[in-house]
Amino acid sequence: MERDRFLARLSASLAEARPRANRAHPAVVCDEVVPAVYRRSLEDLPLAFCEAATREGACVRRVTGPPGVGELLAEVVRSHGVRTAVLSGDPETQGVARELQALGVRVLPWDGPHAAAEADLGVTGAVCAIAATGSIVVAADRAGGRTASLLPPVHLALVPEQALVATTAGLWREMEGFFPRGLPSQVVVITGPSRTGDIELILTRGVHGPGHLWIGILGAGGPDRSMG
Amino acid sequence: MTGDSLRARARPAVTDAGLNATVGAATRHLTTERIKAFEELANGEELRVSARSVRERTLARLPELLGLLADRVEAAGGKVFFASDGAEACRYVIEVARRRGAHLIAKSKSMVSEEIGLTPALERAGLEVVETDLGEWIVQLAGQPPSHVVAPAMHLNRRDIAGIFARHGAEGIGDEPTVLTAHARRELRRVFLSADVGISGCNFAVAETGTVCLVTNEGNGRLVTSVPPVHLAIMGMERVVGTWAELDLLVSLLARSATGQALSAYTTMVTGPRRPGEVDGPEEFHLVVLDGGRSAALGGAYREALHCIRCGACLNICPVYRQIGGHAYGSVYGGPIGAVVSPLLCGDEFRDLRLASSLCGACYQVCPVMIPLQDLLLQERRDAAGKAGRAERWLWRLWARAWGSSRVYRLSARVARWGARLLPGRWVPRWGAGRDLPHDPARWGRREKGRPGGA
Repeated sequence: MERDRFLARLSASLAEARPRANRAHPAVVCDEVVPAVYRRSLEDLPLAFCEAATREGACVRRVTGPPGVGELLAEVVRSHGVRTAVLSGDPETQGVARELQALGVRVLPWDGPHAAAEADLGVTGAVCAIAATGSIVVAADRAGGRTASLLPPVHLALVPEQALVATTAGLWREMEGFFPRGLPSQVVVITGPSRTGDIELILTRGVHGPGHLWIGILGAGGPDRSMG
Repeated sequence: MTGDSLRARARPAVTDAGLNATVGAATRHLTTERIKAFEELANGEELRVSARSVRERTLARLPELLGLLADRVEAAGGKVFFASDGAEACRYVIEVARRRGAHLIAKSKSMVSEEIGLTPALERAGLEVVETDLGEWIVQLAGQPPSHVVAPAMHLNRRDIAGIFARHGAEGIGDEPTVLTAHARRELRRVFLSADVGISGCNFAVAETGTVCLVTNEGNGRLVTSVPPVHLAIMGMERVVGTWAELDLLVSLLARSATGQALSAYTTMVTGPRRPGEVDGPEEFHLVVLDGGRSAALGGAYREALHCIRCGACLNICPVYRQIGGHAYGSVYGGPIGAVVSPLLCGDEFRDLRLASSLCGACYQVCPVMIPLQDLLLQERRDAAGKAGRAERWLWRLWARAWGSSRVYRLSARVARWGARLLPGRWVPRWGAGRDLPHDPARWGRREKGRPGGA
C-alpha cells in the first residue's frame, strides 16, 4: 500500500476514535519518561560492573597496562584451548595480535563472517559498558564489525574504565554523544554470553552466539599504545 | 486456525497432566524471575505508570511517528514498505526474495510473521524457511505453532524435544538440554552462513533515528541481521517509539517482564544496511510496517490492547493459561492479551476467547504498560451480551429488578436453599459442573450483626 494512503487511513481512524475513559483503572498522565533507579549503590562503577557482569555469566578481570592484558589473554587462551582468533581493529585491541601470536595463536586475516566463523576466539573493543546491567556495547562501524564478537565460541572484550556508565540511560539517553556522526548500521548491547531457556527453561549457554564472554576492564589510562 | 470452539480445544489440555506440569512449572518460574528483577529497582511501579503514558502518547501520534521512522530508515539507506494486510506483506517479502534469486531464508522469532502466516506463504512460493530461535525451530520441526509469545516450545519437555530431533535425523543423542542445544547450534550455524535472506521481527522501532531494535538471548537475532546479504525486518505498526529515552524505558521493562533479566543477552539496534567502511553486514535492509487490523483497532474500544509490548508476563501469571497452555487458545496470541488482540488482529472466530479468563486481574498487575486487560475482557463480554436474544435480555432484566429488592432477594434465597441440592448439576449442567452453591444461600452478600463485612 502506498505510504500516504496508509498513514491517511490511520489518521482517519484516530480522528474517529472516541476513547472511553476507564473508570476502574484510569491512566495517570506522566509526562516524564522515567529512568530506572536501582536500590543498590552504583557509585563505584567498575565494582558494580564486575558484580553485575559476573552475575550474568561473564568472566571479568580488571587489568592494568600491557602486562595485565597479556596475562588476561594467556588465561583466555589456556581456559579454552584457543588456536585461532579474529581481532577487531579497535584502539583497545592494539598490540593484541602480537601477544596472541606469542601465545601460539594463529590470528586469522579478516575477510568477514567466514573468518570469524572459523576462529576459536574473537577479541574486540567496546563503545561503552553499563555498570548496573553488566553489559558491554559493540558497534558495527569499528573494524571487527558485527561478527567478530558473534561467531567465535569465545568473545573477549577490552573496555577502558572511562567508558563505564551507570545505567542503560547513560547509553540510550546519550546516543548522540556516543555517535556524534550518526548511528552505525548496527549497535549491540551484550549482557552475558549467548543463552537460551527454550528447553524446560533450563539455562543453556552458547546457543548461537559465544558461550563464553570475557571482559577486561582496562585500568585508568587504557592500554599502552606502544605495545602495538 | 481451527473451526472448533475454545471449550473443545481446552478440554484435552485441561486433562493433560504432562502439559499442566510442564506449562505450570515454566510459568511459575518466569513469574518468580520477573518479581526478582523488579525488586532491584527502587521505582518499578513508577516505570509502569510512565510506560503506560508513553504508549498512549505514541499511539495518538502514530501517523506522524511512522512517517518520521520511514524517512529516517530511507535516509540510512533502507527501504520501507507499508502493508495494509498480511497478504500484502507476504507478497512484498516474496518479491524481495525472488529479485535476489534467494533459496534459503533464515528467520528469527517474530510474532507478527506468525500472525500473517509468513513462513507458509514463503514455502508456497518455493522458498526454504528455517526458524532459528531454538524454541521456534523445535516447534517448526514438530509441525506445530508456538504456544507462548516468548518461549514458543514451553509446552514441550526434554523428552518430547529429543523425540522431535530424533525424527529429524538426530537419533541417540539423549535428552540433555545442553546436548540438544549443541545439536541445534551445529545445524543452524550452516543455515546462517548460507542463507540468502535474513528475516527478523522488531521489538521496537525508534522513529528519531530510523532504528529497529531486537531483544534476544540466543544471538540468532544478531546472526540473521548480520550474515545474510539481505535483512528484512517486519513490524506491527504499533511497535514504534518516538525517542531513545522511550526505548530505554520500554526495553528495561520488556526484558524484566519477559524473562526476569535486567537486559536480554543481546539488544540489537539496526539502522539501515551495511555502510561504506564497515566490514560486514547486509547489502540491503527492508522494513515492512504492517497494519493488519491495527488501524481499525486504533479507533475502537480496545485501543489499549495495542499498547502491548509482547513480554508474555500476563500469560505466565494467568490461571487459565497455566491450566490450558497456549495451543488451546487456537490463536498465535494466547493468554489474556491474546484473548483481547486475537479478535482484533486475527479474525472474528476468536471472539470466544473472552471466556478464557477468570477476570482476576492478575494480568493487569504484572503488565509493564498497565493494560487493564480484565476491563477489556469485560467490555468484550458486554459487547457480546448486547447481541443476546430479546428473551435472554428480558430475563436478566427481570432478575436484576427482583434482586434489587431485599424482600424478594431473601425469598428467592430461601427457595434456592431447597433447590441448591438439585440445581447446579442437573438444571444447568455446563455452568453447574464446576460450581457448588453455598450451603446457606440466604446469607449471600448480606451484612449480619457481629460479623464485620458480612457472610
